[in-house]
Amino acid sequence: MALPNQGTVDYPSFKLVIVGDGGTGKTTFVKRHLTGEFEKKYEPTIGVEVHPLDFTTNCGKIRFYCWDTAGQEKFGGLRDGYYIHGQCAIIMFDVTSRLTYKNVPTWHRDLCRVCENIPIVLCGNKVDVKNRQVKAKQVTFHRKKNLQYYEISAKSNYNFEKPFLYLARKLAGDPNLHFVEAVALKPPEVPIDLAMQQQHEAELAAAAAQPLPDDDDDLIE
Amino acid sequence: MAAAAALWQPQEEGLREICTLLDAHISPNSDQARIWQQLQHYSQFPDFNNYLVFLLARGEGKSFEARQAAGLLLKNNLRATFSSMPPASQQYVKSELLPCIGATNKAIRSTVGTVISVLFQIVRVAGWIELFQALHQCLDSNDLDHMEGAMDAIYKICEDVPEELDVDVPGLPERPINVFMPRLLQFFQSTHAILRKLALGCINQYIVVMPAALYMSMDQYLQGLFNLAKDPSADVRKLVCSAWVQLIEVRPSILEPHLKNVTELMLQANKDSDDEVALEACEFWSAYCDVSMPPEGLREFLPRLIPTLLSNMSYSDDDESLADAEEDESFPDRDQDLKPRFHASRLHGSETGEDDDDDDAVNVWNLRKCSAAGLDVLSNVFGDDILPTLMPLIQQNLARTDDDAWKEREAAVLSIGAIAEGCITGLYPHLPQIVAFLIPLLDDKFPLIRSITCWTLSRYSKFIVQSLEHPNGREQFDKILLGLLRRVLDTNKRVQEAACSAFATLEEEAAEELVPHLGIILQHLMCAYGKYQRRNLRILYDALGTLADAVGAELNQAKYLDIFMPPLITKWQQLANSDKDLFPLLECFTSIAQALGPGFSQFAEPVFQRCINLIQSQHLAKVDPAAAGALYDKEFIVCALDLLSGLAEGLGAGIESLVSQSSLRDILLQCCMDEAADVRQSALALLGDLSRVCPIHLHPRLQEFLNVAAKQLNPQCVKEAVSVANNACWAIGELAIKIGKEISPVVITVVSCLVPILKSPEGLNKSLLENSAITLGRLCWVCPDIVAPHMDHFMQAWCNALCMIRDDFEKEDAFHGLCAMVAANPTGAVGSLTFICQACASWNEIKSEGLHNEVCQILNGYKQMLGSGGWEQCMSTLEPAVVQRLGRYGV
Repeated sequence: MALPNQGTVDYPSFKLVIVGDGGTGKTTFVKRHLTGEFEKKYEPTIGVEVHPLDFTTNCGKIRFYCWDTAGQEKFGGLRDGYYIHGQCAIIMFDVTSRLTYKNVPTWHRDLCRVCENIPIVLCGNKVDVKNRQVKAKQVTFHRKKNLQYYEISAKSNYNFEKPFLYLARKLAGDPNLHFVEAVALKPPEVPIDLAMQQQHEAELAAAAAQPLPDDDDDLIE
Repeated sequence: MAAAAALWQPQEEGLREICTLLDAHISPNSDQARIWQQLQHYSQFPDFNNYLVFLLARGEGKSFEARQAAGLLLKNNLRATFSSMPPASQQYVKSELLPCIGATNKAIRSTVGTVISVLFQIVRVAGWIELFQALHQCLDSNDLDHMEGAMDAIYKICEDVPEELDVDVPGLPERPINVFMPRLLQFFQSTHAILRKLALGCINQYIVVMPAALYMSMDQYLQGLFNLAKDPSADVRKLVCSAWVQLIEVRPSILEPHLKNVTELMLQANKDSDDEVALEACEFWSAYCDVSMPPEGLREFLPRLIPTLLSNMSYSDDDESLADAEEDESFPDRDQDLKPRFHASRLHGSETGEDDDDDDAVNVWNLRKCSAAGLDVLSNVFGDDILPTLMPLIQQNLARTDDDAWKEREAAVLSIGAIAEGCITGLYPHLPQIVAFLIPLLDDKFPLIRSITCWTLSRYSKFIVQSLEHPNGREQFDKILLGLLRRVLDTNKRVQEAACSAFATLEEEAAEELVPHLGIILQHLMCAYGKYQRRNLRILYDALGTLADAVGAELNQAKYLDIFMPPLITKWQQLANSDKDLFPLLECFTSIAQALGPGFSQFAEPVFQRCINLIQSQHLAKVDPAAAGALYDKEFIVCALDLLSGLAEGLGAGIESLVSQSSLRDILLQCCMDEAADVRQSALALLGDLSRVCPIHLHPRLQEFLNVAAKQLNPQCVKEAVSVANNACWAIGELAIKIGKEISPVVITVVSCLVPILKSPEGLNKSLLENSAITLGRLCWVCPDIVAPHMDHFMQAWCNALCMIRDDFEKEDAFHGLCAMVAANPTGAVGSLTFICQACASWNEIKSEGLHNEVCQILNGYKQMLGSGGWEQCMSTLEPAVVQRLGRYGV
């Protein structure tokens, strides 16, 4: 059974794998793109959901098939089996939860064991939350592994395009490639949705309740 | 058991079904939910993992993708359930994997390595002796696939659990790593780049662990690294650099005898044609300077190292900044260009010094950044000694004015900024020439040169202001100020951003030196205000607020107010109560209100009213978002409360009429009880500010305010929200000195909260400790008879805390309290006399004559009470410096 909008296309398409701990905002991030499917309520991803995301560049259209994988262990399904033939990747963590950053090396290792030498972007999501636990200066993993790092907010749309643009430039081998049409994004201020709000508060409460490791400058050795 | 395992055979149909499913999952068009459910179903079968390993190992004719997927799924299952699998199945999986270590298909081979590493983590060496036999066979086979497969598996084990190979195991004559190490070192000379790479990668994992096997082979290992320095494979060269960097970080002593050769190699690698190799090599310089190694070894390399770093600081063609620099000011900023920003709730007391630099630039890491960081470190270690090499190069680069050389010109300007701290002694006498070089570059054709010049000039702000006393220093300062202001009005957004930030930095350093230029500064900033897009507007507000903080009341002149207030008020009126663009404006008004003081009163009424409205509409939004037409956002409340504090501070008693006509008292009480800590924090700060200027208006609900504030001080609250406790503590003290005995009902509660804070100051922030000592003093002063009976509990800890407070009127209040305690019960306090003496000696000078006399009295009183013998004995326990200082009090 094919999902809507997923027929093959006559312009270049790439498999983009999105990984990271559960609740870091992978699905929300992908669903920001209007041509993707976004009407679902918030719920943990089971196995994987594939969303085609189209971008128009100065060199023509391109499509990312975004493989939005489950972060939660119990819903993992094939887990790294989904990475097969991945051509690029995003590793997501949540700047309000140290644990999700601590797990980045594991996601990175599993990814590299299936997909050798693909361009990877590390994204620190939820920079819209006031009391972040992982400060910008503490994020150093990307330096050691030659990854690109962006701080993003799936809630406010901050830096939404940046990871895609970086990957598109790498895949095309053209540092001057740029997006020419504005991507349609959901407006940053979601109309009043108390359920979402409560969900968010609950996430925050859960994050706050997590035991905190030492306040190292460098969370990952 | 093995026989039973060998008997297991898959059902052809089951195999086909699993295979179809795994094939389907690869397609972007499949129904992944259905596949997931199917998998859940299959995983119920006890021999599902047998199928998976069969498919991986023997699935000839099936797609490689399905076989790879089967392997990865198997790995995940093993991680979760291997120990509970039937022994026959365990054995079957182990035995099927080993023959596939050298599979001809790379994906299968690599997957087998991955599965082996995970299984090894579960069963360890002792649980899988056959693995090592198989690996050795492969390594000895001379067949590339077999050697690569074995090395791949070993590499993954080294990456996951390096220490597990360095163990004694019954049945094995040697630790596995002892056997592997010589083989790994042999592979350094392999003709296959992949084997050299994997062997290097394995040993790199052991540099930190440093097992005996590596330590004993160190000479051979280092020789191997030297030999691979010029390897044709960039991957290999990168790993070699990474090894040297790790070695200098964790084992500098090992490198010491070879340091000259290693440094030479790293210098060469820093010029590698492959950027990733050069970047890895570039980490060496910071690492070298970080470890306690004599930097002298590096000195002879400086003449060659510095040019390399400078050359690597030029933008590379794929730097994102190049594309970003194209942005013209006419492009509106999009939501995705705006980083979420936060307001920091008001805090009364010394800063905690948590400077969160959340600039995105800190996260970009590339050869340019790493080289600049390296130069910065070198400048801090060698200081001015790098200048004879660096300065001619900079001059040479700056002299190249042709368009083709703009990146070199830019790098030269960056390098001047990078050494601003380390080399300032040597540079300071030449500052006029450097500035003279830089000023014209503010008008360079290339925007990235204009923006980096702004940054570099800002790095010298402190010294530019210092030079004001030199001849021509004033002229230099004026040129820079006007140059930056010119760039504030640049047409390029990135230049605007850099100029505005640089200008704010200059403002902080220059303070009152800005006064003669206020008119021109305000004209430029307000012109920018009319044209900036949202992103830079935020920086502009910051520059304006910083200006107000810097010049204070000087801003309070009609000719200046006429320039900046009308546009701000227009904007203020345009923005809706739910518009987040209000936040920086509210902050800006807070700085302006404080700076103008009573001069702000002409604007105060609408500002005050707006703050009240903002808080009320948010309170409504909280319970009924539909009626409020907006989603609740506490940030509005916090910003509004802080602006009200700014008004109270600026207007002083002049705020009274506004407060009296409003419902602020009730709103404030509600905010003091809010569940959000930052709302309570700002509310309690406002409570303190209002106590200072118009306590009369708090009076009708005084006991409620006191009870709420006291509640914030209980140990649990202090632990959860220390800044809230800090402000509550301060507000109680402010109230106490205004309302006197009316504070009585909460005194005991508050004192019993403050005492534990003073008694275990470890880990608490300085500000809370100081405020606790001051507030306790104020309570002692106001209600001595209530507190004095309890002073045994806190006298010593309190005096210790008082010692740390610098001279000011708050400390005077606290000492009035101290004197009151002694007066109330002199014999009770005598046990703490040495502590009291130390506290008294902590003053540089007591400005209040009355307090000075009081302190003299109590000290002299004790001297008499103890008699000369007792007094001398007490003095002998104090440090001579303390005794000397006490002389000021006539004892």
